[in-house]
Amino acid sequence: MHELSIAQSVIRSVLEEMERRRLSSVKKIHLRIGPWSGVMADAVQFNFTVLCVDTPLRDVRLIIEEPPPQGQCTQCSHTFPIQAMSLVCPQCGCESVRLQGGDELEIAFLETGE
Amino acid sequence: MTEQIAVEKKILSENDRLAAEIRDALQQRRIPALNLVSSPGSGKTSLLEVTLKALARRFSIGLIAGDVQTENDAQRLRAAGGAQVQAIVTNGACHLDARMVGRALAGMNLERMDLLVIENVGNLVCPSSYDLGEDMKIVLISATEGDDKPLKYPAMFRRAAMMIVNKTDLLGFSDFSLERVQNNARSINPDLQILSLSCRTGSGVDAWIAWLTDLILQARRPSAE
Ligand SMILES: Nc1nc2c(ncn2[C@@H]2O[C@H](COP(=O)(O)OP(=O)(O)O)[C@@H](O)[C@H]2O)c(=O)[nH]1
Ligand SMILES: [Mg+2]
Ligand SMILES: [Zn+2]
Repeated sequence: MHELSIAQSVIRSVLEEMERRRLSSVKKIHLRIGPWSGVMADAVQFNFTVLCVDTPLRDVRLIIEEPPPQGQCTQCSHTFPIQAMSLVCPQCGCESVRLQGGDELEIAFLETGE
Repeated sequence: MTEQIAVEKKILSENDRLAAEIRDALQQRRIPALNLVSSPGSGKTSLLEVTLKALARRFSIGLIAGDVQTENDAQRLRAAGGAQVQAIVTNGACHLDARMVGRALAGMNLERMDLLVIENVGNLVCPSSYDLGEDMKIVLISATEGDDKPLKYPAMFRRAAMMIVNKTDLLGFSDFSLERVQNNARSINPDLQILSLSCRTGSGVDAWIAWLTDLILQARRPSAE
């Protein structure tokens, strides 16, 4: 379980970002955690809540987007989200599909204000 | 009024920065670096023992052995002889990170090193997120595991450059199929190189040693500038 250190990194980065941009508070933090990042979004959420208690991020909401990996058909170029490891192009039925993304582990943006 | 402030920063950017420093330091000295990952018990330490037996007289090899609690693997590798060995005990952490590797490297002589291999903690999930400054990840799977592992741990198999199927001496004792594991792995990562071998019988080890030798000699060759 390395979600604890992931949550710590998020907190550290956001605090740095707030200082750099002179933000007094942040309402929401948006993360992007792909299903193939090796990181469980739920566990990051949990650790974040626990770790934030003693920081200025106490009341911040953490919103985690989990973008599905994309497949691109090598035959017809159709691009589609990969569900449940089925690697068949839904448009032409061919099985030669290139995988893209799904391994995102990023702080996307912050929301401030009301 | 709410305002959106774009950040677009990797969560592990600090690890990535340290990994980039390590990569620079190794590349300056032309030291190829491998990050060896697998489930516990697939045979990472065994593969390194076999590798030392074949190559330690010819090349200076640096090994970093990561373990959750003990230095057992590092001791096995020191006993095998002929290599600089550093242990990293993670005290429970499920992966190595670039900071730990940087600290281990500080205790090693990089001026006399032809190859660095890092044995990661036995785990197919967490180590996939952490760049250690390696040139490539090599994922080991043994014939006593499920041949659907590439599908269950796509993050790792996607990031690996090579898959080694170990314990081929045990093929036939379970329903593990070499063909299925290869197909599953290639469906996740079409560019994956695949070797199969047995550390026990030595079968297939020659191809691994030849590949490693080539990697070391290629790295030494002055780049065309
Ligand atoms: N039958 C067989 N056993 C092996 C082979 N390679 C390793 N082992 C055994 O598998 C166990 C785990 O190996 P080890 O190298 O410690 O795995 P690690 O946890 O990945 O470092 C040990 O008991 C080894 O002797 C092999 O090729 N065939
Ligand atoms: Mg080991
Ligand atoms: Zn198609």
